[in-house]
This record gives sequence, C-alpha cells and structure tokens, in this order.
Amino acid sequence: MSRIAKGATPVQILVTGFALIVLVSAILLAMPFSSTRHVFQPFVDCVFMTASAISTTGLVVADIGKDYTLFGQLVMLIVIQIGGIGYMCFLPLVVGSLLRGQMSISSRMILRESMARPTWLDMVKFARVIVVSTVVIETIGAAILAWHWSATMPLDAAIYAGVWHSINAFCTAGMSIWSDNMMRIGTLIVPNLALILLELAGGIGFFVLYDIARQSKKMVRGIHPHQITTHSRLALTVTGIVVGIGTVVVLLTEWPHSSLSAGGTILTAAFQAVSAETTTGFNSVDIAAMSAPAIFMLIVLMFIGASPNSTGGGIKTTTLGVMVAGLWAVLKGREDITMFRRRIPYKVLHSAFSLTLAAGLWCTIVIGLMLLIEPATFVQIVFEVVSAFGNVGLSMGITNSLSEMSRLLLSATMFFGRLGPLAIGFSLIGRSDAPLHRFAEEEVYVG
Amino acid sequence: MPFRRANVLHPDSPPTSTLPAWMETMMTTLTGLLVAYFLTYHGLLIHLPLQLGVVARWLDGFLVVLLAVEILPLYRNRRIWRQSWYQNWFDTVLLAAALAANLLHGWGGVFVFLRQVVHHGRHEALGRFVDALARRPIALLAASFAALAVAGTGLLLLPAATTDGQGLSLVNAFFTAASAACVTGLTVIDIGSVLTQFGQTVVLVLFQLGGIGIMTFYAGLASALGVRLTIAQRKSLTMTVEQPRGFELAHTLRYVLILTIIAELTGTALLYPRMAEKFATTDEALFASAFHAISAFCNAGFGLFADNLVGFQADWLVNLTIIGLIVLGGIGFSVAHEIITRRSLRRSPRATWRGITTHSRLALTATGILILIATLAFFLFEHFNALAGLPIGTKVLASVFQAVTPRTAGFNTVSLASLQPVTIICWVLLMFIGASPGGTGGGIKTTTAAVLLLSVRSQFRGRDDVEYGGRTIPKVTVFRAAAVLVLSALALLIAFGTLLMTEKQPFADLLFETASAFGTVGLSTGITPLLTAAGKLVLTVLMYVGRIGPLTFVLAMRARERTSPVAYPTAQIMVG
Repeated sequence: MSRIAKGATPVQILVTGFALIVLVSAILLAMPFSSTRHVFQPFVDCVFMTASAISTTGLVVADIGKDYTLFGQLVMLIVIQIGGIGYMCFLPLVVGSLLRGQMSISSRMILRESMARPTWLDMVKFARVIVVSTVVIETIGAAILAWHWSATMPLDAAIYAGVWHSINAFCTAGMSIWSDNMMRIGTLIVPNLALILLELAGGIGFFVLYDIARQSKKMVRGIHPHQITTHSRLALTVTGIVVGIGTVVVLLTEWPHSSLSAGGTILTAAFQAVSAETTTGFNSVDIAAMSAPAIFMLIVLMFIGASPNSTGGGIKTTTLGVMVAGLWAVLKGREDITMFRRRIPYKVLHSAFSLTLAAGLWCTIVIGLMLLIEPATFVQIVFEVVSAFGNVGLSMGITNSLSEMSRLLLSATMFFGRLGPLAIGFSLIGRSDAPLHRFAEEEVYVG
Repeated sequence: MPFRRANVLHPDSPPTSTLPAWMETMMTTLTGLLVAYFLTYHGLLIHLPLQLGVVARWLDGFLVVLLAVEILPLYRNRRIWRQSWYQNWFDTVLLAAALAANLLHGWGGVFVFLRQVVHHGRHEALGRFVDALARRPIALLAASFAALAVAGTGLLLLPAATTDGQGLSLVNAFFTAASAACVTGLTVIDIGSVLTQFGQTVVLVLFQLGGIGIMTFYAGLASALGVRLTIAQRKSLTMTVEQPRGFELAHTLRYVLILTIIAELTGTALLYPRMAEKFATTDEALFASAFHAISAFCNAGFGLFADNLVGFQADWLVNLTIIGLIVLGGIGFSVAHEIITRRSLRRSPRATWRGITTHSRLALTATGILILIATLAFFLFEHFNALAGLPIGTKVLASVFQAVTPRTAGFNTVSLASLQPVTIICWVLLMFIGASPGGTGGGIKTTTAAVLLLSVRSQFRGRDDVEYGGRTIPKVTVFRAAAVLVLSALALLIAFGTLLMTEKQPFADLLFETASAFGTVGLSTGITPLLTAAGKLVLTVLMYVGRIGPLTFVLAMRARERTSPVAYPTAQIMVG
C-alpha cells in the first residue's frame, strides 16, 4: 500500500479507489444473476446505481426491491457501507503511508494541526473507533426497526428490512427496498425517530462522535479538561440551527395544506428536514407534492449537507459555519475570525469559500446542461442536481425518465459531491509546490 | 502654474463668490420660493393667478442674471482663467444650464436652486462629506438613497405625474421611484404611456442622480482612504502635504461629471436621428434621445417604449450607441480615468495596457470575458428560440446586446418572455455578478467574482497567495470579496424564498426577477406588473440592498478595521 501510495497524492488514491469500486460493482450488477429478470442490464444504469451507492446518494433508476435479486441487493448494500465509512478507514492508511514515508517530526506536527485529527499513532485507533461505532449504532438501529416491523411482516423479512434501512440511514444513502421509499412509515413515532437519530449520528461525523465519547468518558471519571473541540461544537451548533430552521420553514409552508394531524405534520416536517440536511434522502411524503417554498428550503438544506468526516455530503455544516463567522468578523470590523473563544485560521476560511464557490459553479453548469437536454421543469432539475451533488437522493420524480447523458452527468455530480469537498479538505495537507517568490501586493476594489 | 493651482485651495484662497452675504441669503430664499411655485403649478395642476406666472418668469430671469453677476466676475483676470475654471467649473456649468433652461422653458431657477444647495464652500463641504463617510459610511449611503427614493415617491404621487391625472398608487410610486433611484429599471407600469413628461422627467432625474450618486460614493471612498487613482494623476496634481481632504474628491468628481455629460450628450446626439423617426415633435424626440442615453449610461434600463428596445433590434446605430454607453457607465470611473485620457489617446493601446493599474486590468479582462461568453451562450442557446427567424447579422448584434445588458443596464432588444431555461440560469448568474466597481452598475461586481475565482484557482494549485498579472492580491481583499459574496447570496436567497411564498409565478421567472432586482438590472420575463403588493415591496427592498449593500459592506469594513485587544488561541476546523 505504502509503495503504491508513495507517488500519488491522497486525492488521487481516493479517486482511483472509488472509481475502481464503482466499476467492479457496476459489472457485478450488470450480470444476469443480479437481475430478477435474469438478463444483462444496461451498463449506464448500473454505473448510475453504484455511483449513487458509493457516494451514499440514493438516487435510483431501478426499483431495488423488485428489479434486483438478493445478490444484487447485497452488492448494493456493501457498496453503500464502503461508501459510508470507506474513506474514513482509508484515511489512516493514506496519511499513515505519507507519514511513514517522507514526513519529518515537524511535518507531523503541522499535519496534526491542519487535520484537527489525532496523530498517526492514533489513526489506527481512530479507524477502529469508526468501525466499532458503525457496527454498534447500525446494530441498535436495525434491532429497533426490525422489532417495529416484525409486528406487520414475517420475522426474517422484518430483520432484513431493519438491517437494510438501518445501514442506509446511518450511511445517509437513503435507498429503500420498497418502491415507495419510506412513505409507508407515515407518522409512526418509532421508525420516524429511529431513522432521524440514525441519520443524525451518521451525518454528524465520526470525529464528533469520537470526541463526544472520549470527553464524556472523561467527564464520568471526573478528569479535567473534558471540553469537546471547537470543531465538534461548531458542527453540533450549525447542525442544530440548520435542522431547526429547516423544520420550521417546512412546517410553516406545509401547515396550511397538510391533511395530517398536528403532531404528525411536525414529525413529518422534522423527518424531511433531517433527511435533507444529513443528505440521507428518505422521504415519508411525496416530495413533488410539496409547496414551492418548502422545496426551495429542502434545496438549501441539501446543498449545505452534513458535517465533515461523516457519511453525508454537501458543502458541510462547518463550511457554512466558518463562512458565517467570517462574515460576522467583517461586520464587526474584527481582524480575527473567532468562534467559541477560538481563532479560526485564514486558510480555513479560504478553503471554505473556495469549496462553496466550486460547488456552486459545478451545480450551475450541470443544471444548465440538463436544462438543455431534458424536458423537465426548472425546479425539478435544480432539485435533482443539488440532490445528486449533496449525495442526498431525494427526487421530485424525474430520475427514471432521464436520458443516458443526464444519468452520466448526475453520476459525475454524485462523484464530485462526494470527493470534491474532501479533495479541498485534503489540499490543506502537504503543499509541495509552493513557489519560491511572491509578487508585490496591489489593491483591487471589490463590492 | 501648478504651484498656483494647488495654492488656490489653501484656506486663504480668494473667495468663490463676489456677492455680499445678504444677497446670497436672498438668492437662496427666492429660489426656494420659485421651486415651491413650480411644484404647486406643474405638479399639483392647481390653477394659480396668471399674474403669478408672469412674476415667476421674471423672477427666474432675475435669478439667472444674479447668478451670472456672481460667477462671471471670477473670470475677469484672464491670466488665471484656467485656475478660475478649475475652482468654479461646477457653478459655471450650472450657470450655462440655468441660462438654457430659462430661455427654453423659464425654469432656470431649478439649476440656481441646485447651485445654492451645494454652494457653501465646496471643498469644505466635500471635506465634510469625506469625513462623514469615514465615520458613518452606512448611515450616509443608506440615508441618501432612501431620501432620493422617498422624494421621488412624493413627486410621482402628484396628479401631474400620470397621463390619467390621478397620480400613481403609493406602492407603484414607491416601486418606480426606488427602481429609478437605485438605477434598476424594473417597472410595474409602462413609463412611456402611463407617465406624463413631468413624471418621466422625475424618473430621469432620479436615475441620473442615483447613477452619479453611486459614483460619488465610490470617489468619496477612494478619497476617504487617501487612495490616489494613479501615479500619473498624482504627478499632474502636484500634491502638497497639507492638501485639504476634499481637494482630490473635487478633482475626481469633476472627471466623473465631465465624463457623464460628454457621454450622455454624445449618446443623445447619436440616438436623435432614430428617435426623430418615432416621435412627432423635435422636443419629444430630443427628450426621448436624452432619456435613453442617460438611462443607458446610468445602467438604469428605463425606456419609453412598451417593448423596451425590441423595436430597434436590427438598428446598428442604436444598438452600438447603447452598448457603448452601458459599458462606459459600468466599467467604473477609475478605469475610465486611466484609459480615456489625453495621454492614452497618444499612446498605443499596448502601452496603455501596461501602464494601468492591476484593478483596471482585472476589471477590463473580467468584463471582456463575461461579454464574450455571454454572447456565445445567447447565440447558441437562443438560435432556434428567441432569435429564430432573424438574419444572421441581427442575430449576432442581438446576442452582443443581450450579453452586455446584464452589466446591470436592463435594456433588451429580444423578448425575454420565452427564453430557454438554460439561458435564464446563465443570465441570473451574469446579473448577480453585474458591473465593475466605481461605475453606475450593480451586482457583486466583476472584480469581486474575478478575485474569488482566482482564489479558488490558487486553492486548487495549493498556493497561499492569490495572484493576478504578476501581482499578489492582498488577503484582506480576498476576504472582503468573500464577505460580499456570502452576504449577497444570503440576501438573494432570503428574498427569493419570500417571493416563493407571496407569488404564484413560475420558479425560473421569480429567480430571474430576484437576481434582476438584486443586481439593479431591470430585465424581466414580464412578471413585474403581475406581482402582489407584498412581492413589490420585497423587490423594492432587494433593489435597495443590491444598490447600497456591497458598497456599504466594503465601506464598513474599511472604516472599522481594527485589531481586537484579545487574541484567542487558534483552533482547527475541518471543512469539506
């Protein structure tokens, strides 16, 4: 691993790895034994499905429960699981090989700083934390869901559905073995809450989970200090605010024409807001039937997305948080960007808005291209593209009728949405081509 | 000579008025009365005794003569007439205007009034303006545009403003006045048929003042910062150390006004032959030419025709004139100042290009690229749609025109009602970016977008410095650009979300309308008159924010930059 990795940047390794998985699993899916009709399936569709799975998006052009055999479904599930936690486990290997190979102690210090993650020695431990927490959380989720569904269906089917949807919720993929996605859970409290919690746990990021677990252990034992890191605070705060605003807006705009009970409407609004914010993509109501302002709110939520180092997509909550903090600093006329009594380096802000801008541009271009080739309406296409970019998987129902060209475009967008932000995050490490000269400064007027 | 020129601005320089103080006061009072009379008579359509009209006519003449008596003696010493001109050019220009207005219509008093308002110690007043700008930039900027909009609303409510003699409704008057003051050009009424010439003149004055106003603020900003425009300019002015603060601003404003007047006069002259074909009388044709020329230079986009400029689709003269005015108005006076000088006319374009500042080079490059890409995009996307059936030459001309107009002008020579969705999204982006700083245009500005893109490029290349053309762009500038973008995007999204709730229009049309209002463009797919009152108010606020927002923001940042007494320890945040 380290020998292969030596010549390549982490980003190159990631992209290649993901692309290989997509290719292999797409070939497996295309085989007759994956299809219930026992024929070869169109390759573009298989690429779309596996790209959707590896990026934990959840946009589908096939009915997983009906079109795929158990083998096909399991391939999808494994790809989703790899997509959800794969690169996080991958990370220690990549960073480890970098460190072992060529980094001095001082660079390790820098790396530790810039990654805000434990040092390499902790990396393996961190990978173990990822795997263990994933298994524990998914098992609990699966157990609750299976217990709930066992009342209405045979036990083996209930367990299978529980495992499948628990993994899909935690990995924020949002694919379902049912053709109506999650519409059947309606306003039932148990599955709604279980899925919301699984989604939030998946979307908040492993580092935050790890941080909380470690600090609460310290707190229980009475060891000081036991504050969580600034990163965790920011991720939790922004997630809370964004989900809160999203829920309230969806609730307010849907309230006038909701046929559900008051509690049911609140639960559904929360479910849809969390589903969009954590980029899961389950829907318990028909998205296309929602009002325009609610759909617009969902688009914004999907673009923002989950927290970094998680199974979710989007530009990430902390990116938004850093930009807002930057804005605040500017408004208050402060030189330093501060939050929670900590200073945020300028570089982080630079990455944050570069990432947002790059994401915005990519989405706009894809939207423009799809508007050219698809007969669907403006809002349907915007929704679809942002859903693909944010690795969400919500759709206003046009995925199945898209042309092959659009499917490839969306596949690329899902791929970019998964790896682009990461690549920019990674670019903070190991800057080797720094020029030996700097140009003189000259002012440019903006605004 | 240069020594004297600098010296006249010294506190003990000769007085700028030859009249005693009591006569000044009398002049101010009389002009005030006269303006009140004009408003009552022309605005409210109240029938006053005929004798009063004769008195007003004589009073008008008297005031113009008084102004001439006051100003002309300043030129009596022919050896220093250049110096006198330098010091009194503004009064002199107003005197000429007052004389012309008196002879033509008998309302030269308006110009005398204007002169009295800005008279008392121009450099001192400008110095105070700069000081106030440095102290309370947001309040000053916000208040001036709000005052302009409110005054305009009052005038448009007058019965004389509309052809039906009723005056506009409050919401429509407010929307139109705000749209004009913010040089947007969105209208809920047909300016050409609903408004009388009085109403049209109100709109014209509003966008003219709005356009010059915004340039003044940019100039004031430069002055408040002590930023010199160019080294060449500094040399030509032979700056002394104890220069009064308003001096440089006075110089810049002189350039701004002269550029405005020359550009608008040229535009009027070029448009006149075509307008003469459309209007019966010379007077109307002249007014229409001036209206469109000023509207184009101020990037307002108000037109007198119901179909905007679609009727002139294939007319190269009109198209090129308007395009030229839009680009000149939108490029920013500092850029214009560097490329349109006597020196640059003698030099080769290449030498000029090498001699100008990085800012100008960036603004010109960005504008050029935007126009080029937009032209190609419009031509390709609309070839079989909005441009269908036109000869190829007209297609190219219309594409160029439609590509230039999102520099926040808002004229259109092609009907925008049935654009392709992909064109709409491109135009939303173009309108959001807008024109260059220091001009009459709106949006987040070409240089802001360029700095941000350069910054993304440097991020992907793993560089810390944002570089352009062999220069590093200061970090704080990149920071400002990012702040402008984030705030603008927030304003746009919130307004769009609100409109989605209040309106029943299609998603794409509303997005187009919102971006058009924010960028103070004025292009519309035709839904503006169909908006609800709430929607109109949202758009009015957005136009206002779009006009003053980005600049306020930069001003606020400049004025309040300070180091915090506390420095917290650094924390790392993962993004992406």
